[in-house]
Amino acid sequence: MEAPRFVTDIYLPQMLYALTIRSPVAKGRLKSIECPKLPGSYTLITAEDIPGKNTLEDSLLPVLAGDDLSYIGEPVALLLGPDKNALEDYSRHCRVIAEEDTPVFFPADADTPVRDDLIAARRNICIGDPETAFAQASSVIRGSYRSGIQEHWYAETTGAVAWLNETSNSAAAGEAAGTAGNRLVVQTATQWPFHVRRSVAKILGVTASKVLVEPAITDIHLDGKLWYPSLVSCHAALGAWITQKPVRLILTRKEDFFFSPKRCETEIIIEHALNEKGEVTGIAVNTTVNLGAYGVNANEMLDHVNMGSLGVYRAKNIRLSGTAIRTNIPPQGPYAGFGLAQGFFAHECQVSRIADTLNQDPAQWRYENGVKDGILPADMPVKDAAPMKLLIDTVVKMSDYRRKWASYELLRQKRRAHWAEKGESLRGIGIALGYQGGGLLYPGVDKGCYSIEVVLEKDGSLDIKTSMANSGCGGVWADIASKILGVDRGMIRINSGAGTPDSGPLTMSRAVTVLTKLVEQACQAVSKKRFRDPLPICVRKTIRPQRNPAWDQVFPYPENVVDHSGFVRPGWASVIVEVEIDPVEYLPRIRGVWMGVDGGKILSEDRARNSVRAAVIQALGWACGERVGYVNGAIPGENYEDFEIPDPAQIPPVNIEFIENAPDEPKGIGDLPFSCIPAAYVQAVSQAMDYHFQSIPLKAQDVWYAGIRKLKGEEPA
Amino acid sequence: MTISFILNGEDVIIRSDANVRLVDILRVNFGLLGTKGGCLTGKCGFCAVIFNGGVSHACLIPAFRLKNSEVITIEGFSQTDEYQDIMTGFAGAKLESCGYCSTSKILNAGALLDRIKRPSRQEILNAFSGIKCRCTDPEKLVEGIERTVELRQRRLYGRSA
Repeated sequence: MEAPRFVTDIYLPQMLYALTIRSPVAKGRLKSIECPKLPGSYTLITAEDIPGKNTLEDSLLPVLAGDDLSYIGEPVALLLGPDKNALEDYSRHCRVIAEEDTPVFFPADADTPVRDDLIAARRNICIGDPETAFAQASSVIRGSYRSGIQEHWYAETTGAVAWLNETSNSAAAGEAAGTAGNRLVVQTATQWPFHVRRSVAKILGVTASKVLVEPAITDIHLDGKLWYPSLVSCHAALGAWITQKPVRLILTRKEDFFFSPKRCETEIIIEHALNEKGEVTGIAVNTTVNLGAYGVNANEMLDHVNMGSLGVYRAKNIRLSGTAIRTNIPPQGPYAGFGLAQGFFAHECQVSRIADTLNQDPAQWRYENGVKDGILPADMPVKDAAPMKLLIDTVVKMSDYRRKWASYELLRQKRRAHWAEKGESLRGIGIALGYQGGGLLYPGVDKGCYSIEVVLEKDGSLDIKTSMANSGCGGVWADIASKILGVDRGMIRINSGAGTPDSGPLTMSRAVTVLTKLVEQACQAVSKKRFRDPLPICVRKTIRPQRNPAWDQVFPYPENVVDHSGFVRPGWASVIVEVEIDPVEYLPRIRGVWMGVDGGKILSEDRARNSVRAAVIQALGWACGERVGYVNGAIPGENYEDFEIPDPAQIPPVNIEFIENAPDEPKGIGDLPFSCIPAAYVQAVSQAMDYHFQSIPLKAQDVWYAGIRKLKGEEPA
Repeated sequence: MTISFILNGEDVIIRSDANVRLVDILRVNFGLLGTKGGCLTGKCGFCAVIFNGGVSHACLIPAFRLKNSEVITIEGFSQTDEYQDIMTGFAGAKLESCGYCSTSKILNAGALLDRIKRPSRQEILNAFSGIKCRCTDPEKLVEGIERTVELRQRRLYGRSA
């Protein structure tokens, strides 16, 4: 098999280029598509030309819009032709005529009931007796936390190249394409090749065996290439199927920026009931998740947000109401951490606010109230005891937190009397905790049975067959196989060509936590057969979803496809962020980030450290820098022009320490910074400014406005 | 129009519309795929080439500007000792790159070290600010450049600076 390459580097003879014609309205009905007269070598494809079912796998999302238009930029047609420049000219003269309807965007107020037809998923969970807890509360602390959209900004934009690997006589003679010998090949950068395969087969109306997906290199995808490449692949595949020529469709940077899924926006309201001693007696959580059009992955996203919103602290009486809504912005998707990060942001901010109200050190409050004995909130059991105290001790020591927090707190108290007079720098320090699961909850039609295959060949070489060959774990797997079987490392191949089993989506550190274990088990099985069976010896290992009845009260999804196994051994982290704010311009500067990580067994410390550090930088971008938003269903052009990811010159020192907690198996760690950094940063800025911030991104201008409000003597919101 | 220019040390002649971008000419006409396409507005920095001695964005250079110019792509630069120093320095620092921005990082590193023999940490970080890639790890980047400086000094003068 050829070495993986970038999609953009694939050029084939006779290749056609494809462009997407898109909806100009956020909601409406498609009346017609006006297109200039095209030469014979150019083709326009619409939904009517789709031979199979017009939706993506496991989704209501149409591959090309039919009558109904649901967001600005929704694909309605494909334009194909041999000359890229001419194609662009033709596309500029295409007009989509639509009858506009009234769109719905994010509800202005999370307390307002959402219309039933907009609900993609809903949860109402009651554990214990929250009503009594709130009725008898000595005080109630309420916070409303909003986290913003984050753009993935992967290096290579989404694209796909599709071709028929054999133009059979039957196809040339006009018989139905897809008959004997005619196999469609799709090359795309995807985290889930089998999702691409099934989606393409579905729209073409053929069996999955007629479609071969060759994964291209995925760069830093941050879960942005989980399902979106399936949509673009369907477009390229449809073009190749209909024209019988290779088709290349690569989105421009602007198209990708404006229309691809992003980290979804959430609004989370949390109330804590406290008794007279300041102890938490009840929690009420209300989550609203804006998933954009079609509500892709609604159950998955909502449950992750809800899990994070419950935090990592002991709680007996819980009321949780969660809603994932469909709106008329482009479909929103996961971003590293799925929705856990948004949930943890809200809960960790709220916890710091409770500590502040009780005049306690936020680290100490966490120390005293953290979950223990292997039980998450809502009595969800996990395998190992949560290492809360060890995590807190680690970062507190690394950062000299206690001394800094006490002195910054003293200065904050002093400044209350004369905010405007002092000229000294404003400093603050914040702490947050979180965990990361290692799998999806809802596996879809394949029921989550993901596999790898190991083959010891006659010549003594070894093939590790997985659809996730581009996971970056190949070196680790080769080391494991070499150690168990004594095969020279140079004779071990990691394959993802034809015949490889579905290894599931590459997300939430599954390559490290799930597939590594399967590789190890398969090699051990080969080892047992080695001198008994003739070569080649082939062993396939499969992981099956597992339910845990104790978790069902939080995940009351009726169908039997919920997989809890990825969460019973979470990775854990604690983070401290220290900031300094210029007292004149109110420009925040991060002085340092300290992070303690429980990653279980660390397979490669260099890789683990790099992975966490990269995530820290992107999490800082979400917390304090990157701002993207939709106005009337579209991202304003200036958002694109002004968009910045963290500048290397502005990134603070990042200190990471791995702690030892049940180090017999690896745990997921790559998404942990997204769960911890934002809340720690907001808490640090809040202490420095003596002002409760409740949303991210929290940018310099937000701090500036808060400073002005304080100068005017206005109280924090 | 017909345009002649020097590409990786060789005289070449192409026929092209005046407004075609250099990045497309390199990739489509010459099959030089090391120069990656990106935003086409000079924003992302992935399409770096050495144009008349300085690092430029190939997406912003129209064909008519190529006349009598000299262009060096990563394929040309990879034949130099400077390239080997950078690759060895980056590998020594275990600098992991997504691959898509590698060309830009390498060419910018070469340009930086041509300009400043021993750049400071801030000068290094500033030199890479124009590459908008999420894989950039500042600590590893600084270490990679510092190692490259040592390698280059040793190669040129037989000693460390």
